Amino acid sequence: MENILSAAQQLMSPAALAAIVLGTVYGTIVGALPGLGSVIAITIVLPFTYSMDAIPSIALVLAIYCSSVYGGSLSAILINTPGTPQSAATLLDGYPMTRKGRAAEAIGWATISSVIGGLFSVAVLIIAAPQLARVALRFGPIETFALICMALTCIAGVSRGSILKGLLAGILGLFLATVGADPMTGAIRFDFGVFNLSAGVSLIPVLVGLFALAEVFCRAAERAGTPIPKTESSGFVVPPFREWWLRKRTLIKSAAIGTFVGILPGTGASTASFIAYSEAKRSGRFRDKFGTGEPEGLIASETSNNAVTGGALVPTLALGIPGDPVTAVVMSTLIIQGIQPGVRLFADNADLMNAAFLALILCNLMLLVVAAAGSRLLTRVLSMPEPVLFTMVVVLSLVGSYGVNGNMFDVLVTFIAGIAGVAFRYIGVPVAPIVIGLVLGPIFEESLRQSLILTDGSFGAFFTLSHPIALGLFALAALLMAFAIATEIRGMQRKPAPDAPEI
Amino acid sequence: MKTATRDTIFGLVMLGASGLLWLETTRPQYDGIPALNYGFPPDFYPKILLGIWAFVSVLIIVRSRMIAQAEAEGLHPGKLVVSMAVVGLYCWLVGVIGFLLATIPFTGLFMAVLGYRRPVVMLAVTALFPVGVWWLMSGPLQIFLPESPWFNSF
Repeated sequence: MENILSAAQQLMSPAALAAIVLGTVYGTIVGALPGLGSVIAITIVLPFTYSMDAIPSIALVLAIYCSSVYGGSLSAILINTPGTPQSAATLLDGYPMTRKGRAAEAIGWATISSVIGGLFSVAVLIIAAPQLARVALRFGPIETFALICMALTCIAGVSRGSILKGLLAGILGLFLATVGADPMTGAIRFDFGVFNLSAGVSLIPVLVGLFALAEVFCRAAERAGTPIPKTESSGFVVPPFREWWLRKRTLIKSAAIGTFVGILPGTGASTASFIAYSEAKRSGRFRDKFGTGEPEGLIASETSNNAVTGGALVPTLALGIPGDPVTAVVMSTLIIQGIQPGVRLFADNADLMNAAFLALILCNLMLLVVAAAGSRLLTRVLSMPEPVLFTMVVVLSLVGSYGVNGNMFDVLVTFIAGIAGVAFRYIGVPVAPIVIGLVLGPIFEESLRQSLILTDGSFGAFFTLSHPIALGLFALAALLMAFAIATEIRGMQRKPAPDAPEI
Repeated sequence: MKTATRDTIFGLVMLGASGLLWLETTRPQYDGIPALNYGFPPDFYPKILLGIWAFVSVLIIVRSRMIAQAEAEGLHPGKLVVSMAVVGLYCWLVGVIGFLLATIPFTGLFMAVLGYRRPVVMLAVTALFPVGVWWLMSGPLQIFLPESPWFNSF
């Protein structure tokens, strides 16, 4: 209790509160703008966090994370274009409501569903993350190695497109992490005589390039063919309680689906929202009206995609294993602040974690305030000209990359990663496994080499009953891989081109 | 370009890259110091990754020969190259003439490259946005962006 009070006190500082309010407004706007999304929203503000204290900077990033997922629903409802992929299912019932002149009501359904989904997942996070961290304290290097194997397999396996390309992307990320000093001997690897490479490849420049710059380049190349529809401005109406009560089962089920999917590495909010939408369409009370502007469809999509936020933070905070690029950026923010996510996080930084949990609760509640007070204004931002927006994104992204270490080499890395990002999209290689591979690479190598030292160089000893957790995780990884391969083979038999360019 | 051809080229490029990186690991610096590496020299782990990398690349080539041909999604190469060239030039100029002097022309130019044609808005954004970012970074946030060689403050 004392810890919680102390955390609340720290969170009530003007800087932390301002971070939550501004982060929520900014995240909602960026989330609503088609083509940007949570990763770009957070990377743009990273430089601002460098000079901030730990709690305000964490509150800022968490506020942007939650609100950007919600923000995507505004454009999905108003202009039939999801601001983020997470809101793709929202437009199925959101836009028909707008066409019927019920846009304000649709925003009300989406906002309250998002808040409930977010709060539900925060409750799960508060309960599950410390427990998981406590269990993971017993993990040795073999278990850690097995866990990362399982996470990477999952991320590569569920990436849209080809499993082989997903796998290769993961390997690329792991390989990029080997650039620089060898963790055991200090020998410099793959620097090719370039001094800056001897320090390794930083995550942020790679991430900014793969996501922000690649998005700008792709949109520049597509501009003639993809005009943004005219924006409608809309207010916010709270639907009556009786209407909610009729749809309570979908609300609860979607929150549970979103949180569970969020915990699984590599899946993410878009998967969760489509699963929840399909489930509501199968079992919902108003399933016959789905697709015609039925609020139950909105509830399913928006509750689940916001419930992913808390779920995805469970493995990120408790195990130090981010499940997607967004949580990888969140994790980077913690690392920049000198906080290492992982099994020791809750033991060593209890105050900070309590503050983060409270910040998450406040961020979710703030969504309600921001939507109620400013949805008419926020939705006007959707009419901002894309060229102006993308020019600002390029400048702010490059400033963010430069700010990590204060050197121009990172700007060069960002540019190269941007070009690579465009090539990967064109070829259909998912970039999320590259980012996760880069984040997990050092700990993956360390755990592998430590494990081999413990077992006198025997890989066989990893798969014995003396390491039951590791054995279970390896088995799960093998199952996931077999499932992904079977799905791909079935896909190859069904259609001519099983992969499509995507992020 | 057809998707199968595209995948074959990608597989071959990645296979070649893994071969070149493998060659890099044969240099003496990767032998390490036996007393420190416990039998697992610095090239041990990268070689495992490169082995899997090469194997997956071969599988991608094999798979590309098995899938039916379909047209890959096209991009406008002209616009793509121009936008990349402008951003590339900007990245270089930031290091040479400083953030502010490089960002002002870039802001106007890039909006034009992206097809924006409203001079008043362009002028306002070009004048205010770079100065605003520079002030915010070097003022309240204390992140010092690259400076020009001719002026002391920016």
